Amino acid sequence: MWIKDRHMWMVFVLPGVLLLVLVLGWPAITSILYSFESGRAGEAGYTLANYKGLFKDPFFKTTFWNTVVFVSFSVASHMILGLAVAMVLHSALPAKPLFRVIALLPWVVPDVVAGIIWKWMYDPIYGALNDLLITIGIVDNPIEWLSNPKLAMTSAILVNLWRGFPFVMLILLAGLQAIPRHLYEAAAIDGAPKLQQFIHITLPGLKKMIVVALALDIVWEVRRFGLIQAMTQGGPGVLTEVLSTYTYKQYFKFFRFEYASAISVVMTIVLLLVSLPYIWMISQEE
Amino acid sequence: MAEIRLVEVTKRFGSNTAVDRINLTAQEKEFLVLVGPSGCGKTTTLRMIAGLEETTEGEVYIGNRMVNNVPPKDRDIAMVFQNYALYPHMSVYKNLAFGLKQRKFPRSEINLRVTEVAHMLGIKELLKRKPKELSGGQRQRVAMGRAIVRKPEVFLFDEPLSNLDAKLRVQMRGELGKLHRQLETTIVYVTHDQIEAMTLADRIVVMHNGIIMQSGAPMDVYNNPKNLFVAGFIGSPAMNFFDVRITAEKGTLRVNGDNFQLTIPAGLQDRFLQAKDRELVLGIRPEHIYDRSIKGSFAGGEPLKATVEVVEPIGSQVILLASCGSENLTACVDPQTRAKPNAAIEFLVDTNHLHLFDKQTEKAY
Repeated sequence: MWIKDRHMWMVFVLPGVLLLVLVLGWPAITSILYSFESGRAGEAGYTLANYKGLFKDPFFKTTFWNTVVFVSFSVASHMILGLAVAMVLHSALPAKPLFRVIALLPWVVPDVVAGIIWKWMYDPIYGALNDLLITIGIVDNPIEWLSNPKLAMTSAILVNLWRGFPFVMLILLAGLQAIPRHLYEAAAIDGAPKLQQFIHITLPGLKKMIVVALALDIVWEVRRFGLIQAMTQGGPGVLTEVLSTYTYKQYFKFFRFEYASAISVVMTIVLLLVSLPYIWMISQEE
Repeated sequence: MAEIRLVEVTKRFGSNTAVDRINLTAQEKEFLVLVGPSGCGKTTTLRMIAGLEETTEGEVYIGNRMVNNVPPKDRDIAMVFQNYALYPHMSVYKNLAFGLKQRKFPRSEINLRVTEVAHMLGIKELLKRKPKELSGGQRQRVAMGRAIVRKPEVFLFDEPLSNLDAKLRVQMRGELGKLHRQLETTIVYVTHDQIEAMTLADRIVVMHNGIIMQSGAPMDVYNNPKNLFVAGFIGSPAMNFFDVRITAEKGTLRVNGDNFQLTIPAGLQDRFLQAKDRELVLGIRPEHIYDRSIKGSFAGGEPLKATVEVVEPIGSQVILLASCGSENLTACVDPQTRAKPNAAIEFLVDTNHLHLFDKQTEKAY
């Protein structure tokens, strides 16, 4: 055989690497190159015009801050609700498997489907939510959840809370299950009340899982597209426009490939910076 | 200081009874060891004393106080867990100080007590380390320190040595005994290791299937096991058992086994006479069986013929596994023995140490 045994691994790894280069590497490099092109016919060579344009673009600025708000509130609420539900599911609860499945359901629903479902739930005329609120007498007139400028972003975040918390819940539940029961018993004998046990045993025990969940959730929420696209398409105006929907618009609506590419490159850099602590922690492990 | 008293205590998990109406008292300053095979209910009993498990029925007293509804922290107990249960993200110092801090001790007092205990256990240099940077023995010490530092009335130990290697276990066993003499507190100690039980205990309590089989001073339990289970569980190698019957002939009693006959000495005759005509189990400890060919080792006793199957020299003695008719027997004999596998051997049995049990009730005569 012309391949030595100790080089054989390359043969096994090759198909995977080729596939990754094809579907990830090539588009990534292409869009980075795109982002440095001017896009005007006849102009050759590379330019920084797209990036300069970004900083002058008021819509980009709004979109950027919308993304920050959307992501931080989504992630924070995922963490809080996820931990709370995980702790309930971890405690002695009757019919635990059933509740576990129920809690996971929102996560199983595809992004776009969730967006469409909630668009209808929120609908001022046909929506179930307004119907419910009016029936039990909390409000007199239907609320325009998605078209009221003051409510649109909040409504979008609420849907994202519902859709996204199960993932955090799942990770933290695994973390909770890995904390030895004896630690709680030792603390109970040591005289620590439940809150102290939470602070001194649960939280430190979950630290790594929290970092993992945080990093992954931030990355995913920054990229979240289907939900908003299906629900508001960035509206009203640009009030719920986030980087992913803005990129989509630039690319597929206005066909400004180069500008859209520049936005994605900026997005990637920001995400890399955000996930640095996570990468650092993983490297510390080894 | 306090005594611990369990009155008719039962614990059921669903339909499974883990502890069945036990009555038990640990005297003040007593080192009480609960011993038994896994699943016998000893750990559950300990956890009920600690308050980590509720009793299904019965009452638990610490001192004069009924503590059934008292949470663990208010029972004035400290517990050392099998896997130490050290708080992984805290330094040794913080581990030791945690209980005192929760009880709002002043900082100076905490510092004083932690230093004192660290000195006592020889872990002074480790105070800044995290549990994962410690060896098994060091973790064990910290776990004990965490219990001692609170100066509780009662110490509860749940198989504290079972995660250590053999050599360290012997060493820590010695230190535990020393510690008990120093602290003079009531200790309830759970183990499945009968050597630990024998060496540490003032009194041992043998449990089986949630029931107390026997309790008493270690040597008393060893010499006078009340039933078949205790006889077989306490002692290593385990006691030999033979199915026998007793016959009386002209005023002398004999035990008749499958392949042997032993005359019962005068001292045991009155006791064993009541067992006549019953189906019986004879118990002989391996150390009461001697190799007849070794001169001057043992005189008297009754001969027993057998065939050697395995010879296990362990240095101070030789363990012989032999067959006697349809039954197997183990003998611990002098290392001078010339016993060979598959060769016939003649043993001498010290008949003053025979044990007789009823086959049906399993009780000793």
